[in-house]
Amino acid sequence: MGLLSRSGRHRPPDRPGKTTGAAALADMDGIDFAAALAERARRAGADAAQAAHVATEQFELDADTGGVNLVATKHGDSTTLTVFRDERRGTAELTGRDEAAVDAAIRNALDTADAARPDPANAVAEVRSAPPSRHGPEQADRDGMLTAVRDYLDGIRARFPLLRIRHAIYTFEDRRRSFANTAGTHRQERRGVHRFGTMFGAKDGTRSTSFNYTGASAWEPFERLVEAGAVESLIADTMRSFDPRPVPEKFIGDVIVTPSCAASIAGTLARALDGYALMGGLTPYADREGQTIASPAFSLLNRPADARFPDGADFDDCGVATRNADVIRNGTFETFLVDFFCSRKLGRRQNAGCRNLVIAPGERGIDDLIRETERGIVLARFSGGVPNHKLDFSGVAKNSFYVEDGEIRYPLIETMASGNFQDLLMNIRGVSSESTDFGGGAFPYLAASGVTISRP
Amino acid sequence: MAVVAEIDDYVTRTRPGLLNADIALSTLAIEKALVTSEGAATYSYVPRSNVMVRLAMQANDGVVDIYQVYGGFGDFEDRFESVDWMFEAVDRLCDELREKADGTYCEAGAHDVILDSDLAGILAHEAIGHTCEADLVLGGSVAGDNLGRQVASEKFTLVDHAGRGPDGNASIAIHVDDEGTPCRDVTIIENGVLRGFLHNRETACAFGVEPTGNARAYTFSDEPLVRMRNTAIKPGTDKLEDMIASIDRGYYLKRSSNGQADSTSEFMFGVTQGYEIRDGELGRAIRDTTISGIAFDMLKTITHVSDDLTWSRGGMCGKKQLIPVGMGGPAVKCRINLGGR
Repeated sequence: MGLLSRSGRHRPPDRPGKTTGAAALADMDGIDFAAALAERARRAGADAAQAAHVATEQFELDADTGGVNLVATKHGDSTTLTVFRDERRGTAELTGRDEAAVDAAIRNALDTADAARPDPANAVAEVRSAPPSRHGPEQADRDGMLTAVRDYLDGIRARFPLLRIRHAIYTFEDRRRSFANTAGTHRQERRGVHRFGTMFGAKDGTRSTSFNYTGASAWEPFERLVEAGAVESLIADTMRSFDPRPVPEKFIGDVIVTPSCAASIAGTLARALDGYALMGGLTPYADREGQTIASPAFSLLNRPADARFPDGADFDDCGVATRNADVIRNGTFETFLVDFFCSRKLGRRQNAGCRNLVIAPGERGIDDLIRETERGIVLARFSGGVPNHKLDFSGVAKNSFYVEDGEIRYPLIETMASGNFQDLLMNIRGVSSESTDFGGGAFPYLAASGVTISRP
Repeated sequence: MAVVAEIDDYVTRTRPGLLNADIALSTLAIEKALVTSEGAATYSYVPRSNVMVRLAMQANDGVVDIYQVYGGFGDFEDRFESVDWMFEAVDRLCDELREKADGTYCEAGAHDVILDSDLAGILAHEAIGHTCEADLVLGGSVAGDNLGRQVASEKFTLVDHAGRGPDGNASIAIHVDDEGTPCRDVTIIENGVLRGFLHNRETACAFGVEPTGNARAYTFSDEPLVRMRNTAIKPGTDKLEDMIASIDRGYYLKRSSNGQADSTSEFMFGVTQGYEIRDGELGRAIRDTTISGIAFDMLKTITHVSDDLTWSRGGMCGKKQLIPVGMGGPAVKCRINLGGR
């Protein structure tokens, strides 16, 4: 048995069931507790109620250049109770399950509902139950994870002696979600997920590079952490980033958006294509469904039910089964992301509730995309203000490189990229066939024109 | 809920032209009891209460929005027993939104600017504070090579304050950190010279100095990390009106959104409200933009520091864990890089 091998009690997996009898709340399985809580709320005066219980056990290893500096096991037990009364909705969260906390949560949720404004869209989802599901391993290979972290640090020291690992965090989380509502819906899901995140920069004497960070998740343990997500390529870029300088002058040119940066852009787009943005009149894409809003090379997909991605989910916070949806397909805006509440509010079919975004890979090689760039930058990290509702953006091009006449010239500092994401989508001229799987989505390189690149 | 509804009713009644109004109440009270095997035994209760108002309206070229956070240190009852004062504040915000809808984009590039006190706080936090956290110094931050050197204008002094800051109005309170170390003020930059870093026990040991009381954890299951507390630029002697009058062509930047720092001291933060300055006077409002710079270069361009001190009301910092922080300062005049067109 290794030093980190687990010992002691491990809770058995939840079993399906609807028992809401007199058993002590603390002794109940997650699904029984959720069902009991919803039923108690109903008996306390709610017209309907739902409870989402989450139990987690997380094993965590933290390290920096000096070695492993934290080993932790964390248990979580939390529940979100939502009650409905007279078309009003109230929510309370509780940690643990003691009787006093449960009673207080029910009171708080009902009080909040009473103070809320009525809305006919407020209701529990009347959907069918499904058998419990489970994905990924049940337990961490703790010694294997420790070995992987040490190998990562040793490999960095050997290959990149100037690189400083600010942190490397490797976790395994066993997460059990249980959902019950007073309409009789019961859902259970268990996911065992490995996650790795790392942050680093390089220093040589008095010369420092920008830091960079990335991460990825996977069902199975990472064999080599340096190969997780975009870790290896970003470290290589960091080592090429000493002695940066600004672009020669202000110009309008191309951006080659890296997979890491494309992931953040996808998140920004998804917010603009969300049902809530439509409801508030805050999207520039209202009335644009079925129209071209991007280059034909571009497809934005939501894939919460894709078994490849550990960060997905089988059901959403209302107990509704998740489904995959094409948001933008070959440049055409197919649909807003509509969750349960939005579907009732907007009178639309629900197609979302969880997000796991993917930008579909294209057919071009990244080398070709760079070779075709007359003047622009490789935009590896966008450090900017939150884009407004028009999707204007401006920010610093971090960990990025100047490109001229089809070649990467030098690393950048004090360089800003400004434009508008609506225009950027239309100006995409190429999508790479190479794609990086981050576990919570997968993203290729994007090449687009018409971005203002400036310097002090 | 009644407070939120009252503000919402007021906005709906008085500003029918708005496209959307989000009113959100957020209260966070952190109660901590800490006992260590080395003899520390502390208890703290640190409440903070904020109402966020976000307004949107249709401009000629799309939707424009603006937001402001009201409140600060204290329980809900301390801050919002009456909300009459907020009606006037929301009126101002609505007027600013209308100005912004009619506003212009910034010209991309370097400009002379006034960073108002709201922005100075995030400048203190993002541009310098993070760079001077000792764990980041050990991780390669350029601050490590500049201790004892002139990194800013002589008019510039930056302190990470314990307690509730020099005026007792900072938005968090901290007297003992989460390793049991009594907190003390840390002068990071004094009259432009880099003087010190922020430490927990581990980094203090590595640097051979006393810990400063900057070890902070968000929840009971989090490990304490080196974090800022109430970080503020020391007020100077200049008057804001004189500072604006001293700029022929530039910008007066009033309100910020998010921000980020780097080990190179390059920083950025989003700007959500401001004005052009033309011939020493305020001109048109501006649309959202981002400002950036190399802190240890930009700080040397500071020529004026105003004589007031304003604290943020709801600052949160993310560094593995979230943590509430206080950020404050006067207005400063400097030269900085703007995104735009």
